[in-house]
Amino acid sequence: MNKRQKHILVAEDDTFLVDMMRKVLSKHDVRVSSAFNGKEAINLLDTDPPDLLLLDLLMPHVDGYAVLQHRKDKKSRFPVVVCSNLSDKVNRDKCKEFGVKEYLIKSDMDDEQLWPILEKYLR
Amino acid sequence: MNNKKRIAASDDFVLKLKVVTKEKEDIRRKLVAMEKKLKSSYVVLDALQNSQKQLLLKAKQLAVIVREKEYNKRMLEESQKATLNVLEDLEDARTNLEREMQNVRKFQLAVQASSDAIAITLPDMTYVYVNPAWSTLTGYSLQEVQNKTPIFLMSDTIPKALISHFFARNAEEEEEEEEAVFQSDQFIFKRKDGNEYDVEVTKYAIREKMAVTFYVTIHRDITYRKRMDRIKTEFVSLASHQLRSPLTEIRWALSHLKQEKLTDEQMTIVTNAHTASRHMADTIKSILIISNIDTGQIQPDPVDTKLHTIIDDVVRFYDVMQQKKNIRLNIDCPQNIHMHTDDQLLKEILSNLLSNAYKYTPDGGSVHIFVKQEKEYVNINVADTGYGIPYSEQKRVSEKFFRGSNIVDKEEEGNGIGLNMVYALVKRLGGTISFVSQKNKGTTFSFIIPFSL
Repeated sequence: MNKRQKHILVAEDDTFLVDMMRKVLSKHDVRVSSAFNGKEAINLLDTDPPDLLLLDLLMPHVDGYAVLQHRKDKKSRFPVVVCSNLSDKVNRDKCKEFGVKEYLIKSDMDDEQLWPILEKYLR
Repeated sequence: MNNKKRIAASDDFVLKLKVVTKEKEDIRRKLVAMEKKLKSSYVVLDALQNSQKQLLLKAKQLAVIVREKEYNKRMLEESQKATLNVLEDLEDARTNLEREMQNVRKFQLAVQASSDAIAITLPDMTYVYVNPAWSTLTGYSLQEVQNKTPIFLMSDTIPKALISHFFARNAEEEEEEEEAVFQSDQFIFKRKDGNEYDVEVTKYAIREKMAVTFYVTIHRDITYRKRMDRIKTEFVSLASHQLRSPLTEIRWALSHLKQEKLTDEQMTIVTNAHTASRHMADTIKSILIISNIDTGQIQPDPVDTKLHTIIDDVVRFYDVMQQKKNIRLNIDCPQNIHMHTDDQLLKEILSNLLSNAYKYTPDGGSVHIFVKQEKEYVNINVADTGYGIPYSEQKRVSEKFFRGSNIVDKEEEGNGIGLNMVYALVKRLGGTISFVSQKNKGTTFSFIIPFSL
């Protein structure tokens, strides 16, 4: 295939969920890398910039907002989809300000619903 | 002889004449005297008659006076009696007045001692009385606020329109609203020292023959309550998050398992477990929404959307339930209804109405979703052929934790928060909701919301 494979970075501290996401996404023609906290995610943004970031907000040490701030500081343009279990307006608004494309609630969806949403932003 | 005789006779005659003349004179004199006497006796008689007349007049006058005196005496006696009665009445009135005064004093003391801040304003909303608690709460004495309206108490953060709606409505307008007994609302007020506080204001109109004579406003400091509300909301958010994290793993694992090759029995078990995990996620979402509505944190976030796709999404979500109960579903919704509204909240409303319709309709019944367009509004109806809501309980439908007495035994599932949430959400989307229901015939919920929010 000539076209470069799309790269999705999953930043999520729950290893089980990362596995599930990988399983679901592996059915499609994408490369998935993962970070288990904000610090790892920031490192990967610099060394291996993704085409899309699937981001959890609450992560140990460095949280999702630090990652969003880093992306903003670096003026990166890749789309971000937040996948969190925090559903309050404050967090939603904050993410909107950072230009987050979509705000998903993990427990309100099934793993298989993930791909159709991410696919929209990979085109 | 003859001569002599004649002379003698003449002398005798002369003598006799003299005598007669004298006698005549005497008689004349006597007559004159008598006339004189008679005259004077007439005078006396006249005088007597006069005095008699006068006496009669006097007697008449006296009689009148006597009658008058008697009349006056009687009147005096009567007025004395009347006076005594009046005095008695006055005494009674005084006792009553004293009792009333004591009552008034009691009310006055009660108002003064109240821990709630109470103020009395005239129909034009200017202050005429504030109690000590009011002065303590606001920092202003009666002298400082007399003839002022409450506007100066407001925090600068409150929109002016909201203030005038509550405080500056004129009395004439309210007279037309017959049963507006009281209004209650929450505001942020500013104390004299500049500190702000949350306050709940209740305003009562006191009327005499429909006309508002004055208003009583009660201010309650709810800063503490608001703080507790915020803590409660934070707690609910935290608890939900803690529940959601493990639930996500369960749900995703079951969803993943459903795509594996399983025996029929395994598939049934996994599907049921997956449905249950979905319900649990819905319940958590409802609890969060209710908790946020209570504290006013839910703000609609409008997006461009199509009504029929929203309905399709919701319907698909409850496919399993519909098939399990063998319920016929009809949808009448034009394909071209474009809306600019909060699709998530609209989905919540429809999800709750549809799942209720399925839940409270016996197996083999039917549910009908139909949509009508009315100028700037869309009217969405969810009708079922279910158990209905007993007439006596229909007023309580929008209350939190309400469940119809006729369905409590039939359906174990249900927490009584769904409809409470629906009512609040419809309001948030700028709409209104109503329903008609007949026991064992069915219920139709009907709500209208604007196409564009």
